[in-house]
Amino acid sequence: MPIKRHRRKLASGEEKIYTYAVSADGSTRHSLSARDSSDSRQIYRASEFRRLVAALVANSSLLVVGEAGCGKTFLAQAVTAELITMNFPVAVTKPGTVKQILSEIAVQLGVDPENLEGKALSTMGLMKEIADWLLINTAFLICDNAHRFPVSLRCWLDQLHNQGQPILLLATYPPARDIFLKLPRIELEPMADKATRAIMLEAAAELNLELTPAQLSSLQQRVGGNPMLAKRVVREEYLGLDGQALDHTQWLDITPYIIAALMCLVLVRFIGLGFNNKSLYLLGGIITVSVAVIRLILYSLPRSKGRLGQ
Amino acid sequence: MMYKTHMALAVAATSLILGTADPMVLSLSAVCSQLPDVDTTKSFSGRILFPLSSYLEKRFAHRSITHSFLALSFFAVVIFPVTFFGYQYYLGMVSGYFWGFFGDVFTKSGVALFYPSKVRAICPANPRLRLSTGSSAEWFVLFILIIFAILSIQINSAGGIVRAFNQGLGLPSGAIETVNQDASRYLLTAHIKGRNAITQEPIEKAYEIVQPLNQNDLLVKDELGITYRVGNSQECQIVAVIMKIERVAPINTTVTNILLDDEELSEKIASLSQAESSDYQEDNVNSPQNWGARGAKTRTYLSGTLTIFDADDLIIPTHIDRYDTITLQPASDIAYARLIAASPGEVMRLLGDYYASGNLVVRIVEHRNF
Repeated sequence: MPIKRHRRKLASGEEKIYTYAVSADGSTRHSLSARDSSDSRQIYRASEFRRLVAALVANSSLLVVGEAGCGKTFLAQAVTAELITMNFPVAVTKPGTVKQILSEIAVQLGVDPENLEGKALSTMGLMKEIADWLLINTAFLICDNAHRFPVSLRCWLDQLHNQGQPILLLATYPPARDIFLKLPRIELEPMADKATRAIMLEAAAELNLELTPAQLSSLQQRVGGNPMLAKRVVREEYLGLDGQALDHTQWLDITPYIIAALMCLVLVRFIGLGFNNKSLYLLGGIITVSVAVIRLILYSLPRSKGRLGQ
Repeated sequence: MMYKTHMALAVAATSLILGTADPMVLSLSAVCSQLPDVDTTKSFSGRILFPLSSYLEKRFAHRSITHSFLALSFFAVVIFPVTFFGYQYYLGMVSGYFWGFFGDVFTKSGVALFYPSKVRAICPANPRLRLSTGSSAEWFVLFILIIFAILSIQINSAGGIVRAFNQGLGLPSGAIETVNQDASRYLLTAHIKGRNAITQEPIEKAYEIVQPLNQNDLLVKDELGITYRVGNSQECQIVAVIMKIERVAPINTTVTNILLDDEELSEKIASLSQAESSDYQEDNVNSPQNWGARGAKTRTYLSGTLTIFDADDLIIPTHIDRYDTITLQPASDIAYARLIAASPGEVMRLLGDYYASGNLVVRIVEHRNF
């Protein structure tokens, strides 16, 4: 059953968002939720959001990094919307080839992508044209998924940065080089439990799925402060999937610490040696061998693979 | 993890680490191992402490706040008054709580050990090798843990892991250590496998332990009351290869001093001697197996050095095949007698008529009925 949303302005001036489930032929619909429009774009990373807007307005560039799904695109959209409401021209990049990206920027900024003869500009021509335009106009560049940018585009951004152009780059763990290294950086931390829980509730309401706090609390284990995963685990629950996928990056393998703790027991051997206690010495020897065997086994277990489902 | 697995892990680990078999400590730790799971109303403890679990599960992810070192420290502080009833209980509870959440490290979704950090601790790194709740792998782990718990309790109730190890190996040095620990509380017998140092005959027999002589040797006596030095040193009459110690009965030991100042020994020793001889008549079949089954019996041992006067005619025979508890060092007119765990009867027989000066330590061992 498809879900539809409407934004309505009430007579009181209040804006609300209504969510409906609509039948396939559109004849019946029933309401799922109605909430304040301000809630709908609730920015859980409010401090980062404010900082980004303030930095851009103060004519400085920023790089936002974080794991996939940690909310960078959402932040980029929020910042774009905010800058537009402040009446700044903003160009947002979309995934594509260098030429496509540059044409898109040119169109958004109102730079003519054609030369005087009416021929489309080459990549180099577009780069120069946009750079020249930005030199005399105030506008913001917001580049999402910047880790996928080819070197040529990064060099161009570097050049823009050098000419004082405010740029917002958002990237999933980019390499530590050129433009990524030059820009001041904000790392997005995992979201607070409260925020991920709210996102999960929202996702559940959209799917008309009722989840008990116990279910939510159990599902939240697999979220690790990642809002994309918060939505995904709810969707998995909705589809009745077992959900063994543990895709967040907030893991700490404590195997070495466990082995270190066990290794401390090897001290028994030296205590036995020091106190001339043969039994302790023998017992310590047995412990030493056991710990070595445990260590060998733990380290020879197959490693987890970086690919999904392996 | 299932609540049973948490319990088994907590009991096994607590018993192993604290070296205890105290049912109270272990049950407290089993109960406390359920407390971390109070963050979900689905769990056993969550249903009992419903208001708390309902509050927690609305706010926090499962296995986060209550499964952390933060919660453990909080718990340890809150239950600190338990130390009033016994430190062991306190440690048992803290250990139970710790193992209650630490076990979840081996599950698929791990534990936020370092809450408020979101980081989830796991072992091993590969999620496919970690346990999922209620899986057949978990039942297998539960089975292993139960075996561990039983073994650990068994070993601890028999006096601890080192003692069990010593008993298992029958190492003479380990046996002497066991004797050092237990000699003041129990009447002990040593099952000795070895050989006679003089005749080279093989020996496999139980002896009653009198006392340890040094780090390597024990003083033991057989059913006839003949004493031997057992161990690995050169002076030993019995060279032991395997020595296993067994507790026969709990004992009360009293130690007194006898001070002699040119007094006749018989006067001072007579009362001790009578008490012992009456006991000896009572259990004339003095096999070690019967020692514990009889009524209250007394063993009296005298140790010390005496100066014997007018000892010109005093001769104390020495034996190569046994340990002489009384040795004599003659001098002109006087002699020095050295007593090590000598029986009053023997002292009466050999030195009773002489006048002596010196100091004797009397160790009286009475064993209680079970």
